[in-house]
Amino acid sequence: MANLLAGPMIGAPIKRREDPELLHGQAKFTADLTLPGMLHLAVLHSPHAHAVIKSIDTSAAEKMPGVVRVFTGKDVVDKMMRLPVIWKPAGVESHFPPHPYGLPGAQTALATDRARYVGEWLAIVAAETREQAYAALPAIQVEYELLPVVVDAEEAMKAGAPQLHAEAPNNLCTHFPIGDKAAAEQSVAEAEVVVKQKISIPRQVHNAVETRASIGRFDPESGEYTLWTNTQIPAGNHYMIASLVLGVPYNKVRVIAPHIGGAYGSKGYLYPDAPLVLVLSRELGGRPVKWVDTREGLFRTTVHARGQTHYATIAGSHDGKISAFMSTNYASLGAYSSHNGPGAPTALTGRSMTGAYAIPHPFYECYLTYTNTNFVGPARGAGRFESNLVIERMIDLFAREIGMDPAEVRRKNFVQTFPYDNGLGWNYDSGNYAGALDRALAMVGYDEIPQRKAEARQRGKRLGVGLASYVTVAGVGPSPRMGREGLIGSTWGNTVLRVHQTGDVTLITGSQPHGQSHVTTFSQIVAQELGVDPERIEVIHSDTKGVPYAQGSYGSRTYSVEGASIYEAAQRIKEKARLIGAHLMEVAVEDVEFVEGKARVKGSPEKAMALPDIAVMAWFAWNLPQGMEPGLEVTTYWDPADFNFPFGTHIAVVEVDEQTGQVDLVRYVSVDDVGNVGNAMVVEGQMHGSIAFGIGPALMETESYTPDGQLVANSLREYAIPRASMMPHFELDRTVTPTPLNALGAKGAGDVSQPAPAPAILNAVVDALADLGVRHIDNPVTSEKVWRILQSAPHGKGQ
Amino acid sequence: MLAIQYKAAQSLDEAVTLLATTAGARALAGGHTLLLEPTRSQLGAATLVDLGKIQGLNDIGFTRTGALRIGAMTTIAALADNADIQRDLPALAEAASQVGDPQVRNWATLGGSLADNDPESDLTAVLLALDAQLHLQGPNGTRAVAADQFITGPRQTALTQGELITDVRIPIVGGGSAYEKFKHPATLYALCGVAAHVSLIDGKVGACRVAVTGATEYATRLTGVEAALAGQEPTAEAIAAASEAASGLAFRGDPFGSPEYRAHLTRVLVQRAVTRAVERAR
Amino acid sequence: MAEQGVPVTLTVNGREVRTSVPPYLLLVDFLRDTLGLTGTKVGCETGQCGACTILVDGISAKSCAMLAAQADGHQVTTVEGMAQGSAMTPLQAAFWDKHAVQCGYCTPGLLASMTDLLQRNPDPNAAEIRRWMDGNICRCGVYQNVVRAVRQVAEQAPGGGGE
Ligand SMILES: Cc1cc2nc3c(=O)[nH]c(=O)nc-3n(C[C@H](O)[C@H](O)[C@H](O)COP(=O)(O)OP(=O)(O)OC[C@H]3O[C@@H](n4cnc5c(N)ncnc54)[C@H](O)[C@@H]3O)c2cc1C
Ligand code: FES
Ligand code: FES
Repeated sequence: MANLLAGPMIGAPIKRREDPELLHGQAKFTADLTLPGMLHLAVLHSPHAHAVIKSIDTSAAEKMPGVVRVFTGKDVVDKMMRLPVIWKPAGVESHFPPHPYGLPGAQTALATDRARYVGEWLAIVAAETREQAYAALPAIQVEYELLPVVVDAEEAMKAGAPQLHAEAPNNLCTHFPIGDKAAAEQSVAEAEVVVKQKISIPRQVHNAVETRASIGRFDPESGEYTLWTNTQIPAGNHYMIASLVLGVPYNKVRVIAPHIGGAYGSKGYLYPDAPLVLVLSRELGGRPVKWVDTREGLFRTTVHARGQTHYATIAGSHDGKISAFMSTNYASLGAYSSHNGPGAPTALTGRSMTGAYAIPHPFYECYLTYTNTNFVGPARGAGRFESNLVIERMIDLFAREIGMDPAEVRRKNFVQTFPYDNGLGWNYDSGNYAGALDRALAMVGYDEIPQRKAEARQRGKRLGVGLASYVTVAGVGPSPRMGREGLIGSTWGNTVLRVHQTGDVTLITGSQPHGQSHVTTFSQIVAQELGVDPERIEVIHSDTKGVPYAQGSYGSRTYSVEGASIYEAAQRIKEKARLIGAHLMEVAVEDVEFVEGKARVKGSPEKAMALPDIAVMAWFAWNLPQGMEPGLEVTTYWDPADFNFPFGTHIAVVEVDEQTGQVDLVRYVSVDDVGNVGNAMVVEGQMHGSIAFGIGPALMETESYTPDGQLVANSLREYAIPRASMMPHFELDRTVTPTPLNALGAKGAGDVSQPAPAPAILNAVVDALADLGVRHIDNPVTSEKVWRILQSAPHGKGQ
Repeated sequence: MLAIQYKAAQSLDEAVTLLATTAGARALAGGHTLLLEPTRSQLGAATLVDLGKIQGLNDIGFTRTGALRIGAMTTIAALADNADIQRDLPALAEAASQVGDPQVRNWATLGGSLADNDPESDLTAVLLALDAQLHLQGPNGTRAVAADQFITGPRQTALTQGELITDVRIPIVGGGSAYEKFKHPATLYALCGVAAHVSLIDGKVGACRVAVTGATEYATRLTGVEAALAGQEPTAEAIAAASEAASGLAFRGDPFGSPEYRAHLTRVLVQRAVTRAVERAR
Repeated sequence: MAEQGVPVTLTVNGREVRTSVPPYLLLVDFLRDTLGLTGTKVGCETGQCGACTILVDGISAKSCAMLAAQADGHQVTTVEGMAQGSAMTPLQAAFWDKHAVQCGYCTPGLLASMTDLLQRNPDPNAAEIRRWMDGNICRCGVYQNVVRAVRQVAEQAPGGGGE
């Protein structure tokens, strides 16, 4: 392990403690688990986007080999409540039968009388083997009466559109406006320059390589329900299942998240399977039941992301100053609200609309509708991918309109003084936006771009360069604020930190790692603060038996919130150790400091007591200071004062093939500022992931529905994900602007730069085609789209 | 899926007999089409006759007439890595090296990639352009079929029930060949692929064969292009003009490439493949 | 539905396995469900993701595209059998050094692919390494660090090194 004396542990690029078991194939993911007597489940999906379910006949399926039982909605409807929606941003109405706790209910776990999207769960087969369960699905007879379908958010609001829910007239969930509309309109009316653009952002499918899976076991003896599921929010699932769905005592439920094969937001929900496997296990007399989704099932029923259409307006003057920005967004939630679905298109997108810029008059509104499609919810870069794509494209359009370099327009409008209230609800904590921009420009060699364009032209390629700056809200978040945002829940960080008699340490965290390296980075905090070798620090997480109610991992909150909570816990341990040390050494408390793992007398470092010696005395409690509790353990609940706002600038260089329209991403430069980091290597890895997750939707990823509500992409044969050979070597750098909001000075890092690549690439492609009069291309910029532009251009097919 | 049966044939004769006498029998080679969705769920109660244990089906060598003979069970990777193929039939080596991904190339076979006449297969177009002969063995004996006759329609071939591809023979006739591919971003198959073989006589195009795959319902010779090139000096202008003759075909479409786009790509890739084939022929 | 078992004898991670397998059973399911070697993962039904990649006779293979019956007579190596006990192969160690693992779901498959690459080409350049990853999807985005890890192995190998 790293030499503790060599330098600070926090930030050091040390190797991950998580890796050996993953590299040996020993780490268990949900699908890897087998319980004695376990049955396997297969789910019957609705093949229709909108249909009345007239009848379901399971009798033939029930006679199939190995089948134990077939469940339909009618079998479970009175055994569980509807799935709750726990994020209803101000103004989002509760349209559905309320929960006992005043929560709006949305979907039932299995449809009973009507299916509203392709894939909606209608029935479940429980059989001795997975093959037998799947083999029985075709034997279930369902009689449908087809209903008209609407798949487009804007269409759904029009008169005469098919209606999904009697409770939601015109399919409207909510209209969510923020900012001063009249002031923004007036500023636009008075502006020298006004640019308008419609920007459509299609759906992206998270497509974690591991599909979702759940195992449920009901113990008839103890009445305890145990759920193993790949959820980012074990405690959230625990609370929702116990209180909001099953209505059983909190302490009769246990949720365990085994290793998780990537999530990117897609596993941070309460999905139907979670409570269902528990109810089914109970109905089956306590036999454990296991469900592992297929890739096709994932496309149909694991949340999708994005799916917004913006009508944006930017206004300003010829000197490059922007005075107003407005956008009206039409977005669909899918057929129902996922438990936190309304959050991204309303608050997250809306409040982030102005990006890195000080724009005096911002306005945003969103029409959120129901359509006959799968749920939409957050994905890596949730809401900010969309807002940043829109603002960064609009900045470039504005720059073009006034004939100014896009870098210059950015620099002129960057927020300069902090804290900054962006007028839409965010308060930017700190930043040096021009610093990141300048560094990125230097790295890419911005001045030499014209030469490189000329050189590329010789090869039949059009070279384009595109910038995207960003500011991403992270560190979700202050609980009172989240309450005002409409989140039914809390967002503080919590830690139990225990120094055992031996000096070994147990850290219990409410966060939930699924690739982000919590065990390593959290150990680094404790190692540095308490002077303990990371190998002697055990990190417990992801099992609600033993881990207190907590938040899990999402929204780049972990290190800057949970990390800060751990740091705080370590300070309290240090303080107690210092007091005990002073007492035992019989020195005045003021004369003792806790450094390098020791309570040490100031000025005479040889007079010291090491943490293990203090710990043993703390637990034995033979001689503690007057009134002090025994033990060396603290619990912290740390609520941040506000969100934090990482930022940066990314630059994409593309080459467009004049003949085929193919876009090659030839260079990618990113300069990110996430404040201080917990582990530089891990942060770099997160940036790689965020960039790849943004390149995908920029160039190839998209999901859509046919007018009759069928998915266009149902498998990885139909949904393209960027592979290693499709991406260049990423050139990364960081600037460091610590946040004043936590003692670590750390901002979020997990998904914060994800919103940059797509606008950078779109801006680069538009730059490459600018002389053809191209103003805008919606993502993904496929070869065919570009070819069509090249073809319709005055000079035809290039060359 | 549950109903699949399996038999490992020990010899070609046994395989042919099993295939001819077992209802719903299918040959199993690399399995990279058969065992994956969407094909797998259509297998029903098929009996899969594994060719993997049959000796001698993966040899590559020259025949007495100087053709290259390639066994049907030769993997795509073996095609790509074979020095004779790289030297004499570069279009085949180029196509093979661009099939799917390494794992697929390691196990998918030449025979398997021809037998279904998959519209996006790379190798079908190459065999058309290289004027390959497919050797078949069935219940009624053996026969040789030219690639032109082997492909009979969309997903249709000259194979009859129980008949297997045993090997493919490609004449080594000089000239130059090349393969150009535009990858489907999701499947990695050919969204459009063009293979060309050109021989030059006194600097003018003599024999010339050009075929497209991926863009059309099945791999197709571009006889219009061939005719337009024949006897011409292969200048960039002449090649570009000839590529315009790649028209009048039924082009396929999907969300990654409409029929019009694939028609366009065909013209572009014809130019690129022919240009490189000509360079190699010089 | 009389289901005939297919007798097979194969070597898995150096140990001989003699058994009878259902004819429809995919090799990946045999490894995971029958032998309990769950290090090999499943990510799709269509052959794109590469999470199921293993080594068959040392050659990288997608075990979802192969029947267990087809493995008869072959040597199979899964992630569990790459190194002895808690030791690591140079490639595993390099993945660790270079942070080529995030969630770890794609890792067993990537290790198998890169092992195959290094056997064929002990000194691959970055472009070759990236192309050899065409059959492995990592949604966490570890590709660049896999390139670094493979380069480390190449550079540390006896006689290796230098681009
Ligand atoms: C991820 C992925 C990417 C791919 N990318 C490409 C690509 O880019 N280009 C491309 O061309 N292909 C591609 N393929 C297809 C791959 O090359 C095929 O799976 C292959 O072509 C089929 O060969 P196989 O040996 O696996 O055949 P199998 O799947 O075993 O069989 C396929 C068909 O051929 C029949 N068959 C097999 N051998 C014979 C024989 N000797 N005689 C008669 N019939 C026979 C079988 O009965 C079956 O109908 C890809 C596949 C995958 C999974
Ligand atoms: S499981 Fe996806 S390729 Fe095998
Ligand atoms: S590390 Fe998560 S998919 Fe690769």
